[in-house]
Amino acid sequence: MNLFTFIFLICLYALFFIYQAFSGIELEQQILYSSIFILLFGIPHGAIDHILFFKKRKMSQLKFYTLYLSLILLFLIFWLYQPMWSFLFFLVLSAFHFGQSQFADLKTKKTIYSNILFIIWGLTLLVNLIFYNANELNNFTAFFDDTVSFQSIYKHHYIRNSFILFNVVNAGILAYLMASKQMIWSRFTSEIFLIALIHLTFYLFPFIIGFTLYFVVLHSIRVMSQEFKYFKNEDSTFSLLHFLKLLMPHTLLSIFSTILILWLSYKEIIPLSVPLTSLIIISVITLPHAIVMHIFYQTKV
Amino acid sequence: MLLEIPLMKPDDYVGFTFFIGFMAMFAASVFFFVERNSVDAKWKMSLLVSALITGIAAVHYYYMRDYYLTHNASPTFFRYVDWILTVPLMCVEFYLLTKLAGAKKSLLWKLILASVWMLIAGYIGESFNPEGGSTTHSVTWGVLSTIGYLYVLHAAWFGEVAQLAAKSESAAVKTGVRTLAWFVLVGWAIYPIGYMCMPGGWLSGMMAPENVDLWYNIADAINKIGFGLVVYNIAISSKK
Repeated sequence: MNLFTFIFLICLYALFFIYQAFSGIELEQQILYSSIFILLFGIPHGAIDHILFFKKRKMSQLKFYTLYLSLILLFLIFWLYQPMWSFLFFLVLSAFHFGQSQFADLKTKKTIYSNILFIIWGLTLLVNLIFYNANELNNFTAFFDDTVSFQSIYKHHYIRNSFILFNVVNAGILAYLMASKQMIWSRFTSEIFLIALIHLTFYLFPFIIGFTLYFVVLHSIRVMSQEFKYFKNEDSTFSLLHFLKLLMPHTLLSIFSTILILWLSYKEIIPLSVPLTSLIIISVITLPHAIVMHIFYQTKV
Repeated sequence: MLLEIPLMKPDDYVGFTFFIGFMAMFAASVFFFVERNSVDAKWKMSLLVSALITGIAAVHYYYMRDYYLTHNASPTFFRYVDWILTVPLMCVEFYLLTKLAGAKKSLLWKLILASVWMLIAGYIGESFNPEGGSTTHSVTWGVLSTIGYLYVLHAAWFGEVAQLAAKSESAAVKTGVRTLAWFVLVGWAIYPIGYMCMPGGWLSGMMAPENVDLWYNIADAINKIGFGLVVYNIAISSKK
């Protein structure tokens, strides 16, 4: 168990008691609290992409921002014309990104082993999330005209097979890496324990709560910690305050832009439902972020 | 007839585990007492504590078994008496194992205090819950109890215990302490789950009270005997 799993466990116990005390949390409150946590922790973890990129690659600022924003724009256009394919691409991209942040420190004999582990681990995570919350997701997506089509992804027999397949393959890959001495025994047991904990979380809690808990504690805080350690290694005087100052400008800009776009959607100035707008925002900013983090991880941690 | 033995149904798994639990703890106690003579002097105290843990549990399981058979009810009172004695002793094991690496008495007292706090709060939460189950009561004492548990968990994984084990020159102590930390993390997790299954608890609909006893019995046997076996393994490995 590492420190992030410990924090995750504390949050899990806290949620147990919150659920007991309030007999559950209403959907509106789930969305509100989750949004706050995602804005406070999720957005900042990608707020220094530009700094990380320039540490690794030489490129003019203009070219970087043009590329970064072009990717966002291209994916946005793709979303408007091919929402289903965009959603599937987003799921696969997120899966890889989640897996990469989880195992960034793992040294395997070949890069292909790492890449397979990243994608399978991430897909296992997402399939688990969908499997345990399929009914909730079906009801939620059925509520809005522009999200109904995503229901086909949550078809139960299909997800159930994927659930079994990915969990078995994921455990198999971890076991192989351990048996071939590419992963130490204690890391293997920790990873199996974490997967079990994720199963429990997604089984016990609603979709939004379960995902937020994973995304904030096990992904965003972990990535920010990796980023902080990187700067600290470069300069031992680098402090948490320095780090917060680095995060602040783009975090504030992103939070403001996100709230503005969601408000426009809520007021029906943007002809998309709030959930779909949120999904599009998250996915379009994930694409360039995942690429930058891929470059960052290839040469660090 | 020498003893009056109530009728035992073949499918009474709870009763079955009470009998198994008693005998397993008793046998483990004898084993640790006897084996105490075959380890180095520095591990004798650890083995004695292991024997005491399973010995105290065996006595309580003897009472719990009879209580369950007579009243067909959960023996919460005896269970907590057992835990209040044995769980702090498990914490003593952490101290004894890391003593050679420089553990101070203050660590011992902090761990004992945290574990007693955890159990007393749990006992109040579980035993003095108003008729039908009060959520406020259950949550308040549950939170207080969990704080104690998280303290011990933190100490075993990241705090003083983990740091001292890392400093230890013995590989057996390093591995052993990490294994014991796993017991605290996974093995002890059954107790808060059981707590939440009581009336008024969040998981009260998930498990019948008799099933909670079944899991408690299995978990107790694994945790207590397992704890002792890990300590025994450290003692034997260090001798080689």
